[in-house]
Amino acid sequence: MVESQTAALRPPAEQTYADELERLGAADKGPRPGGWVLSPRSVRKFLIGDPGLKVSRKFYGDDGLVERAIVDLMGEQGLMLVGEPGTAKSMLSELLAAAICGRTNLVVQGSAGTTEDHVRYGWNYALLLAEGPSRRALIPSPVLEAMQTGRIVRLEEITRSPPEIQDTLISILSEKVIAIPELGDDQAVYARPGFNIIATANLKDRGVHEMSSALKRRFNFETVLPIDDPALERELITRQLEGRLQAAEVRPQMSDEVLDLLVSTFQDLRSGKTREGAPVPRPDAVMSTAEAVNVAHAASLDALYFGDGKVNGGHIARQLGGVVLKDNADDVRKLKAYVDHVVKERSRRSKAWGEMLTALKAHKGVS
Amino acid sequence: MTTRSGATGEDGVHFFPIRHHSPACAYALSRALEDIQPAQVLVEAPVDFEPLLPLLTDQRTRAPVAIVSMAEKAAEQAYIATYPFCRHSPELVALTWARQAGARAALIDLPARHEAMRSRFEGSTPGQLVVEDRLDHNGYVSELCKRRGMADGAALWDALFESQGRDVDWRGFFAAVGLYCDHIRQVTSAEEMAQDGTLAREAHMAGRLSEAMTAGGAIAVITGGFHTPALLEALAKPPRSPAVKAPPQKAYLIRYAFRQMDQTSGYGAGLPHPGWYDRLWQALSEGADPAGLALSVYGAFSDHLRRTAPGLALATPALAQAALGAARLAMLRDLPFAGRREMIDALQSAAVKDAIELGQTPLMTAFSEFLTGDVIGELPPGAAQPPIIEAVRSQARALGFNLEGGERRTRELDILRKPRHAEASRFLFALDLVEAGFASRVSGPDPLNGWREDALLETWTYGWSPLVESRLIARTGGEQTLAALCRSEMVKRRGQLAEQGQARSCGALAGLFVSAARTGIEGLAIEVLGWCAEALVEDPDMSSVIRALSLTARVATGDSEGLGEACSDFRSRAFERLLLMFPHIARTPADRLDPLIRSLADLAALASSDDGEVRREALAAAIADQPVAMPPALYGALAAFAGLVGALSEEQVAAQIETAMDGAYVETGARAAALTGCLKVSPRLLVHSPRLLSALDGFLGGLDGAEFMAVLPELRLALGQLSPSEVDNVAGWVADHHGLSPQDLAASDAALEEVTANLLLSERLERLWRQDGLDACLAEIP
Repeated sequence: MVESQTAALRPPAEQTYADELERLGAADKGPRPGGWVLSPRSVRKFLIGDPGLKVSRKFYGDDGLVERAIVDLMGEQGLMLVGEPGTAKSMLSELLAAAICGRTNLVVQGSAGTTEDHVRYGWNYALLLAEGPSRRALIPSPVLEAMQTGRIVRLEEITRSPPEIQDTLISILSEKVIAIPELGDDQAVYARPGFNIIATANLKDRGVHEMSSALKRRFNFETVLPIDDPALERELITRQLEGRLQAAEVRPQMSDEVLDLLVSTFQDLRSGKTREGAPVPRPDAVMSTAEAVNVAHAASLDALYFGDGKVNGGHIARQLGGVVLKDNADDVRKLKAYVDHVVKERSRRSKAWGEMLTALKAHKGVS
Repeated sequence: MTTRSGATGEDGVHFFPIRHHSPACAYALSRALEDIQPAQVLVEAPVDFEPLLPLLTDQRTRAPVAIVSMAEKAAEQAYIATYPFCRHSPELVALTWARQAGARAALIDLPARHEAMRSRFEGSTPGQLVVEDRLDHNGYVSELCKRRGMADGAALWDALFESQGRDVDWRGFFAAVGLYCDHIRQVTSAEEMAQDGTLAREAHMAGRLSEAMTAGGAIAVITGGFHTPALLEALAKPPRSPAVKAPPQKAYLIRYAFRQMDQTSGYGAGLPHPGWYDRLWQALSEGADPAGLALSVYGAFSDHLRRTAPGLALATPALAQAALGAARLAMLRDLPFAGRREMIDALQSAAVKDAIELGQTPLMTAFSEFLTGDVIGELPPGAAQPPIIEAVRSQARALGFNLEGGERRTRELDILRKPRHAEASRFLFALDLVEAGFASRVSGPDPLNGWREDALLETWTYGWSPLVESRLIARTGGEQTLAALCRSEMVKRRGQLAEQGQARSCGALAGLFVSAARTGIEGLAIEVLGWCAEALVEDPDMSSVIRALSLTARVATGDSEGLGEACSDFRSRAFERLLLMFPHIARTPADRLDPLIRSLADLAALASSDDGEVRREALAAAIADQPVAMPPALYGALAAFAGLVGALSEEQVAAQIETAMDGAYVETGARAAALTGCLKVSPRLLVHSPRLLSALDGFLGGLDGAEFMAVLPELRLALGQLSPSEVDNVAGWVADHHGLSPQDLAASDAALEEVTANLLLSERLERLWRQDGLDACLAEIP
């Protein structure tokens, strides 16, 4: 029952990068851990790029983190990616799964509504009533499927699911087996080599559940930090923007000056200080690179469909309001302070910053 | 780009490009020396350190040690320069080999105090003679890091060279190091090399090399890899050795610690975490497999944690995982065994079960310290030490301090009755002043902090350690005695005060005077007192003058000649100046008001003690004629002060405060401030004066809710001065006065903030109800 995915809005990573994975696989001579499609070194190349094999860089930031994550997945422990929202934790986990087992669709989304069925197995009740418990009536969860096929299963936002559901993972991670007593004595699914779990979690958001230390012990933790190198962030935004705008027939133009404005605004507000080291009030809103890409994307569409196709500081400013000014009245004040002290100063030297100042001043919340 | 090998030369000259403190270089070098058996070993180190070579290579010397160079006379170029060695320094390995093999060892760099050596550590004390930040920070290295996916230059160096292990082919190894350093040299501008003295030093090294070549035989030249290309070039056209002029120096071999050698602690050469490289060197030189190092280091770290920080101790599975992870990371990074970076990364993955947002976690900080190591070097007995060390040690012994063994001991000093104990106390205070870390005071009188003035005994714990030596050396700029060191320290601190804008503060300078007087160093206290007197003339701040008066009152001036007279002379002048300042007291700026009010209490205490200089009558006369227009807190404080020095009776003071609270000020908060000021100077007044109490009671009774909220902060400050029993007294009086029992006044459990918030809320509700015409309902609420 394979759905045609030719017109998918967002194809999975293993499809998007199918040719890169194929080249890596062909050139890969290194030893592969049981169940892995590629050797650890090729997995690393897939994530951080290899110009020789025309493999693009997909994860920007800390290369050491990528290496640690790969090594963590070679071991018995699961991999837990933690960090602020928008730091590309999910993207990292998807890319790792694509490179290690060639399939990224085994996902459990953690939420208040996650039940044990999502982690262990459920039943097709019509078949269950007609035939009684049987393999045919059993609906495996993504976790069970990953165990059967020796693949990576991804658990998104694990801390959003209730603690008792989180804890069902403990025995799966340590024993690597799920018993199915309904099918009879000694009926169990044993994990095949290559099975592992990548979980992502946000430890500080509102409405999350604390993890038990028993569960924590079964994961290796890796912190994904926001990108602090402006050049790297700029490169990432440009590439992601290009990908998103592929469908549009006409390309909007974003000058270096405007891109620079976008990156510095995000870096300033995220780190709480400007490039020159002057302190800036930090809004509570998430100022991640993902948000910066959203702003760039929306500003480009704005310029394309309602303007002359050239993105200017004003387009960025109008979208920026939507990112920073969410529900926190304090953030309005903070953005205003940033406008008054930093944007105003920079607008004297740069046209793009001048356009931004004008647009932000016209914004009701800020002026 | 050249592919010239750095390791082989013509004419029997073998070049060994090295990185200082690199175990891989040291190991490959030891193999090479065995193979080629050179007749001469030339090492890049200041030529005038040569006389210390026998001591440096003595069998009883244990690295880490360092050679320090000091100016011959304290006055000239008062800086010191340090050249550290650890076990895995290639230089030390080569020099030790030369001694054992009977080869000639020579040092070929410029003299330590030559001008070209100085430019590298301007402003830093002590200066480092070994600097190689070029190896980590340049365009070539950062490009290479990017290509190989390395975090930084140190990680790259580790991956390229330290990971070579035991089976290294030394020819290939030094050819590679030579090539690496040659590339770095090519991205360095000649102008920069001329400016920082590199070219001058290389010319000298080349000159020394050509001298050595006349003697014949194989020569091993061990220099930083950066200089090797220049020396190879110079071989073709040997330069004449230029005449070298350098100021005279004295050099000493001292004990050193890994902590001081850590790159991260500001040391400009070598590698971070010297403790790790020491273990690597140990493994290499014992013929052990470095692949086993990860597990043994983790094991030792776990052991270390159990002893020093049990809260952080690691579970065995975590350790096993970390060791496995380190090996896998090494494999992934294409390294033969796990190095420093892999060890840190793997431990972080396996043992830190939380997000690492900013900076370090306690566990990783502990691991970093562990990898730095706490080893301290050893010297043969009787090795000559810098004069300051010798001076302090002999003085300490003469005063009965036991310096052997290194453990901390406790000593009680009967400073008032035994002259020798008093002298010992002064000696410890002098060491304390220069922050030598030899002794710390557990108890005793302390005029600076107003602590136990009546104590007769001082208790100190003390212990001699190499750390004391290195701190003393780090402090000196060539001073040879403790007294001279204290003198320069005083000058330095005066400069620091000036930087903080306190050059004219005689109160701050009086603090220095107390420190100086405690050291008992001849003439030092009088000199510092002179600074105080200079500042006194210009000091505009009354509280600072009062502080100077009260600090100088408590200094024992008994033994020093002339100090007593100088001190009382200063104090009488300070007092005269203070009297002149009193008429202008009302103009004190708001930000100095609080310290002034507090110091008035000190002044009153001085006046009521038997102080010869601070005269009560003079003070009473000075405050008699004060304008009424002044900040309320000051008004209250002056009233209380007048009471304390006898210018006003208690009744009169109470009357003045009463008047102030009755409405001389517009704001209600300001009215209460008069009481605060009064109580800050004389907290007890409220307890003794029923008149003041009833004035306060009346004042509070007349306030409405909002006004009470406004004065509450001031009131809390004022009544916070009272002791619990005094609060009890006041409460008793209040209860009496209002016909209540003291129990009715007992505090409720609710926090003050909560009560305040609730009061405000009920007030708001009441207003709203009234607005809505619900007055009738309010009447029903009790």
